[in-house]
Amino acid sequence: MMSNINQIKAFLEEYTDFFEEMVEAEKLKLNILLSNDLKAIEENILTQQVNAKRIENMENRRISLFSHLGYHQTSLKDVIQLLGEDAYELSNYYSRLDKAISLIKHFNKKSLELIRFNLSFSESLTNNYDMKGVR
Amino acid sequence: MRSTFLGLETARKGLVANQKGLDVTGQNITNVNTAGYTRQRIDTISVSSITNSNIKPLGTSAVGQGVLVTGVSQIRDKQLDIRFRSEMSETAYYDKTLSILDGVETILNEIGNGIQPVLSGFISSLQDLSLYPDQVTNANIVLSNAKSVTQLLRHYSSQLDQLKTQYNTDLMIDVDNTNTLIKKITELNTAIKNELGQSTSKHDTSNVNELLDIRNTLLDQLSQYGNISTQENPDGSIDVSFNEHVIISNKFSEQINLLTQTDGTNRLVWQSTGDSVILGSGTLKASLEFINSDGGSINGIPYYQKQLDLLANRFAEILNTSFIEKDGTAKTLIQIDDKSPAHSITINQTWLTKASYLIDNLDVNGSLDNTPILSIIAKLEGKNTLGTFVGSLSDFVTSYVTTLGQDMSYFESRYEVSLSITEDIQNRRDSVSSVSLDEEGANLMLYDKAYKAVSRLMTAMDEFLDILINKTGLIGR
Repeated sequence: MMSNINQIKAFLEEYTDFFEEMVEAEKLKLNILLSNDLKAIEENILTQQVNAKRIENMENRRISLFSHLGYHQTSLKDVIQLLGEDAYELSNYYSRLDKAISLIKHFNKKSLELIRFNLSFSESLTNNYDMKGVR
Repeated sequence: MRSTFLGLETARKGLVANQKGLDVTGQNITNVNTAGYTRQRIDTISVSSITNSNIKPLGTSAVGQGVLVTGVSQIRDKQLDIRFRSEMSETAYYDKTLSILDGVETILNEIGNGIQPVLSGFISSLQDLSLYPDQVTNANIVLSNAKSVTQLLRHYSSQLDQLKTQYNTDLMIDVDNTNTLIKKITELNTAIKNELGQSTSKHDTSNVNELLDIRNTLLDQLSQYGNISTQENPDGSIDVSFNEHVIISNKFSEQINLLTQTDGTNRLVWQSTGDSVILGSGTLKASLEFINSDGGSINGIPYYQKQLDLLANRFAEILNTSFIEKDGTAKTLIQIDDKSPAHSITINQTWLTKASYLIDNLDVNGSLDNTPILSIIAKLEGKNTLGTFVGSLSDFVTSYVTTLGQDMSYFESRYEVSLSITEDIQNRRDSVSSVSLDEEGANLMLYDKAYKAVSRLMTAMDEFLDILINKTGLIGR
């Protein structure tokens, strides 16, 4: 049976890889939105719903594992600090994870901005130019 | 009552309007490849038959008096300009960041490929020496490898210093460019304001369209240095803010000063207030962050220098604490300046002149004592604490290079996305403001046809007048 630290390491490897995969998914979503390809956008909405479910499941697994190992309601950062001399190796995962989540948030924010702008731009296209030729 | 010559006047106005239309189409077509040019169009209105709007025309007799050209305007979308400049600023930030990290990567790849083999070679020569401590050849090889380690550390430290100096110079140039752009935009503001002040119609920008193009191009350029916002004034001038600090307003134009502080870091301050320039994005922010930051949220050039210093310090510490003199004091094998360890690390002169200085002590059996050598190997390959890192020196070098790889991948992802969005907005801006030869070709035919039709109208009016003046009521004369 794996030791606590090995269980955490194995899970963090999987957890980090998963979120790095989600970064690519978010980047793809943004590129699809930029392409204005309606069919691709519709298909991506379905993929997004699947991904949201996968994130939820992964998070439930993390909570369950941490509870099982006695780290209930302890943040990942704090768990890493508690693990003493293995902290450095684990902090690498934390650093990768932190970057992946930051990118996901960033791309998501950009997607939202793009959608809002597209809607407002489409609305303005329905208005006529003013006297100065400016919408 | 209608004027007898009204028809001629209507036709004349039509000729003037269509001629102006042709002129503007010509201006658009000839500027199809001019950078920053915004396509123009004529603004026309139908001239009413009455001058007093309170009086309504009676019956069907009141016909308009032709067309009036009210001005030549530019076709631009302000929303797109704002979005473009905002994204441009972010793209420029990531672009500069990647450029700096690229420079660091070139040095670090060398470090990864350079220091690790040299460290391994040093450990391997120590192992040989531990087996045969009495062989001077082995001691010479250890000294030679130790020299290589110190030389490389000094070399990489100096390369990082040069990189920092290079980006310091770039920052100075960027600050100069920013200040020049601010001045030019202020001058253009004054010129536009003066020209518009002389215009008969406040809607007519025809006499400043070219100035507006230059100002818009300069604003696009300024947005690369920092996140700007603009506010248009009724007199045609614009107020510009850099992250909410007003840099251009009326005749006021702000300037940025670059200060080098005692700790070697740089600071940008507003000339008017002396306060720090705080930017949300742009190349100035990227340069400042990566020249100044030694860790935390941003791993700038000083961070990588600091890591190299940690490595140099630990290497010196291991060697300087392992060999004990006959009087019980530790032998100093490596000399190092605590202020700049990697930059100053050298082999101690005594060791440099005598390779066997390492192992001139005897053990209890009367043989040369190899215990310190084994201790050094164990320390180099064992767990060392360097900042937050725990592990062998070789792993430290790997982790050092990996950190940069992660940072580059992170900023590359952001840059790619930001660039795609900027290009998307640029394409939309072009679709609104750039000259379309197809559209201008259609306009050309339209104005040409209209001009010919109006000239035919004038001929017809002339014939009517000829009939009226020369041929009407002649019978019975």
